[in-house]
Parts: sequence; structure tokens; C-alpha cells
Amino acid sequence: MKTRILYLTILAAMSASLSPLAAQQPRKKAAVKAAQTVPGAAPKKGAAPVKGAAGPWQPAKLSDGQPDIQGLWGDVLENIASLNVEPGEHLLQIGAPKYPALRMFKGFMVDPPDGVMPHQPWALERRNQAMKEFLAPTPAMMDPQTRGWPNGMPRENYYSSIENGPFQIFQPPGYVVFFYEIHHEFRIVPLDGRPHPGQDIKLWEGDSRGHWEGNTLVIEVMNNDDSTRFDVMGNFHSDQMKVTERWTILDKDSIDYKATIDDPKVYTKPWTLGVKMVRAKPGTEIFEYAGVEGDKAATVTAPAIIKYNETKTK
Amino acid sequence: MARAGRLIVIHRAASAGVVAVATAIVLFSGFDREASGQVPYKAPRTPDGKPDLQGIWRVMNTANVNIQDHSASSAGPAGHAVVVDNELPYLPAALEKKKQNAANWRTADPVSQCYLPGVPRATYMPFPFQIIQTPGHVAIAYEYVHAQRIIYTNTKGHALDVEWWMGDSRGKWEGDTLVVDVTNLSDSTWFDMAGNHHSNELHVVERYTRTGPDHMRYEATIEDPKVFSRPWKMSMLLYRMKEPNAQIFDYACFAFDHNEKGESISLAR
Repeated sequence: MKTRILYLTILAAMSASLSPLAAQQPRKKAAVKAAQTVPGAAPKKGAAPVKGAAGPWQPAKLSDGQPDIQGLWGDVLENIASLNVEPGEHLLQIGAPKYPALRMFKGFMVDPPDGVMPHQPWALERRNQAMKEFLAPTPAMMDPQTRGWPNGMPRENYYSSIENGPFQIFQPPGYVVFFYEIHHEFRIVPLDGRPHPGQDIKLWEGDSRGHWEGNTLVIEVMNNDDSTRFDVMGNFHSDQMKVTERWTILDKDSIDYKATIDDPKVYTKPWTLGVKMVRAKPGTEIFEYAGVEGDKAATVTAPAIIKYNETKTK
Repeated sequence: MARAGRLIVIHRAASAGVVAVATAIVLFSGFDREASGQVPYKAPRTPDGKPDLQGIWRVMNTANVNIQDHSASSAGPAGHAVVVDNELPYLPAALEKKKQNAANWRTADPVSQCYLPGVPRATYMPFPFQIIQTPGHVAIAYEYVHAQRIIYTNTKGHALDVEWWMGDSRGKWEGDTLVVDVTNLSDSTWFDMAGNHHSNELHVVERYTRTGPDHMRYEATIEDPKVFSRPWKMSMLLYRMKEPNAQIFDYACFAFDHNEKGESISLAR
């Protein structure tokens, strides 16, 4: 708990106007967190590896045959607030505001190897505009997450972190369900191969359909609303985006997460990002994150929110 | 005469047979026994042996407009009270506040700002919600402003010293009924568009009981000594959505004004 508070204090001090909701949100209540322990939230014991047997760690199986990954998870600290998916140094070189955290955050691109997203020229121009404005954006350029709106896929996953708001996985028979603390978002992922709804239906978190390939949960996300972004630097997608996620269980406390973005309207070819998800401490429970409702701290610490509220009341 | 009497006897026996068959159909087809008050329905079980409440549910009432008896108005259709006996035991000052709320409901109702609806209102918003069960948890995903709740069924005690829009929920099973104790609620939510309100001392006890394959009884006992002179109860039915493609979408109404005024926040357009 102390780590959470300390980290947030640093982050808040460092970035009053950056992702203000991330910085102010209810971790200030961390000190009064539920005192009881939650036996059920603790991971189910995985099957112990057979002594002497080589090969990957084998998770316990649920009644419907799914590998059991239930419990609370989150990203590690480096990617908090999803500041930049691409390498910070690269962004500084091409004109990003000289923001100290950009030197710290190396991004988490997997493909292409140089870590630079394959934007189409018009999209790069627009992204650069948003990037230049990110500390004091005009309403049209403002990151929707600054307003407390949903992050969309795949950002909701790597925005979630052990320190700043984990997500909880439930696996009732035939489903994988994600409850994200951030924005009280959720995803209900059926595993029965049913088709996506009609593509005229757009959803902030998209529509997810999944299946297991061994110890990898593969989820295809379609029906994505184009209002969401990948990071604070203004990287964006169209409503034609398809996200293919691969959640590969590494051991009982870690998952390798990869998301491949296929959006021919914005990018010249598919690209992939990846982070490691780790399990939260047993006993952790999800807090309420009422970002839209806001609280007084948000307006005190977040100039962007004040600006937004002013435009809204005009 | 004798023949006629025999015929009557036969006729009666046949009637009894019809009744018996009908009763058997009712009993064994899983017909909803809610109204008839017959043998309680026994819900199917989850893999860990608990009554299975899972699925996509919603109300078919107008409690969100007004939890008491009400005529049709611009707020919505007429409807029966979900409040048992239709009576809300307001303390005098709280009743005054209710009247003020009712006069200003269009802007004063927190739901008009797309804020989280609180408990129990989330249940009877005119939107579906999905119940998910795993050992130790009953999770509810609401379509309305993607509200979420996790009801912990294996813990003792509530979160300490916090106020949440959706409260802190701890549940237990009493036979086939899920009983949920909800505390840590804020005074920021209302019960309905009619301005019925509560304080942050609100304590809700919810009871979820399957009454058939596609129906569930929902009851909420409301206790709030700052606002009401005694506890009171609401009761209503939940209906399962049967469409094979039923799913929870999102209703992010806080963002509607931007898109509808053409103030797109999408960089792709």
C-alpha cells in the first residue's frame, strides 16, 4: 500500500497535468483500504510442476478445461499512465515537449523492432500535433482518458497496474471476464466462437471473442469506437481496428501480454506492443474509480480537467 | 339415473386427471412458481455448488421513474410501486428535500449527469446487467455507464472508512437466496427520477432469489436513520434476456454530447 501512495505522490508531483485522473484517483484512499483478507481473491494453487520434468509451467485447470488465471493482475510500473508506447527518446528527437518522464519511459513496442509505429503520413502528422499539445491540449486533441472516459482496447490493459489500479479476471464456465478498476470498465469474453455483432455497433472497449491455444488466451477485439487512443502521446486508431491479444501464462504470477494492431486506415502494416502482467498481492480488492463523477482533487490538480469543464459549461 | 351418476363420476375422474397432469407440467417444466406460491424453485448449481444466478437480466418496470405508484409523465410511463405498500417513511426534513428534488429532477438527478446510479438503483435502471459467479465472488456488470460491482461471498466485514457511489458489497447464501449487505454508500445518488433520496448512512440488504428458469425475485431493504423513520422494502422481478445474441453493450452517456454536437474527439475522423 505504501508503495502505491509513494509512487503516486512522485507521479503526481512529476505530472500535474499528465493523465490527471491517473495521478489523483482514489489511491489517496489506499490507507483506509479494506482490512480483511480475501481468501478467494488469492490465486488458486497451480498444479505443482512434476519434479524433474522439463517444459513450461502448467496451470491448474477449471471445470470447463480452461487454464486458471483468476485473480487480480496489472502491469508493472514502467508503463504507468500509458505515457508513451514508442520509445521516449525517439519522441523527444522528433519534437515531443521536453517532458522529463519521456526519458524514463522506454515504451513497450515489440514489432517493428525499432519501436516506431508504422503510421501513414497523414496519421503521423495528426499524432505529432496531439503530441506537441499534450501538456495543454485543445479540446479536440485532448486524450479522452483525461476526461475520465474509457481507455479502450488494448490500452485499458496496460493502463491498469498493480500500483495504480489492477484488473480482476473471473472465469465462469465458457467465459473470461475482466473487471478493470480504472474507469470501472469490464469485458465479458465468450469462448464459444460466437460471431462479433454487426460492425455498425461501436463500443468503447470493443467486442471481444476469445479461445485458448494451450496456455495462451487469444482474444480478437472488433467493433472498436475510434475515440480511444493508445497513449498520452496521441497515438490513435480508426473504427476499422482489429486487435489480436495473446495472453500467455508464464508462471502462476506472470503473464506475457501482446496485442497486435491491424488498422489499414491509419497504419501501413500491423504492429505489436507487449507488456508483462503480474499478479497483485493476495488480499487486494478492486476499489471504486469514479472518474466521470470526479472528486474535488481532480479539479485542483488537473488544469486540463478545469479547462474541459469550462468548455462544457459554456 | 344410475348411468348418469356413473358418467358424472367418470367426468370427475377425468377432470382430476387433467388437473394432475397440468400440475405436473407446471412443477416439472420449470414454470415460474412466483405467482402461485407453490413449492419454491430450486435453482441449478454452479461448479462450486452455489445457486446459479448467472445470465443477462433486467427489470420490466418503471421504478427508475418513480419507486412509488405514479402516473405517466414526461419522465416516463405510469407504473406500480416497487416499494412494498407504496409508503416511504420520510422524516419531515427529508420529505421537504424530496419535494425539492422532485421539482428539479431534470438537472438535479445525478443520473441526468450520467453518474453512477448507486445501489439499489443500478438494478432497476432500464438497462440489462450480467451476473458472473466464481468461487467467493458474484460480479455484476451493468450496461448503464458500465457500472461494476463485485460482491464478495467469502469475507467478513466491509471496506473501512470509504464512500463509494456503488458501495461495498458483502454477500452470503441463505438457501437459494443470495443476501448482500451493502454499506459505504455515498449520499450522492438518488433512488429514482422522482427525487427519492438517502444519506450516506444508507444501508441496503439485497436478496436475489431465482423463482424459475428465467425469473428472479429482487428485494432490497432500505435502512437510513437520517432520512427514514423505519426500514422499508422494495420488491420486483428480474427477467432473463433470452435472445441468443444478447450481450452487454456500453452506455457511455457522459460522452454523448460531444459526439452528437459534432465535437469529435477522434483523431481518425
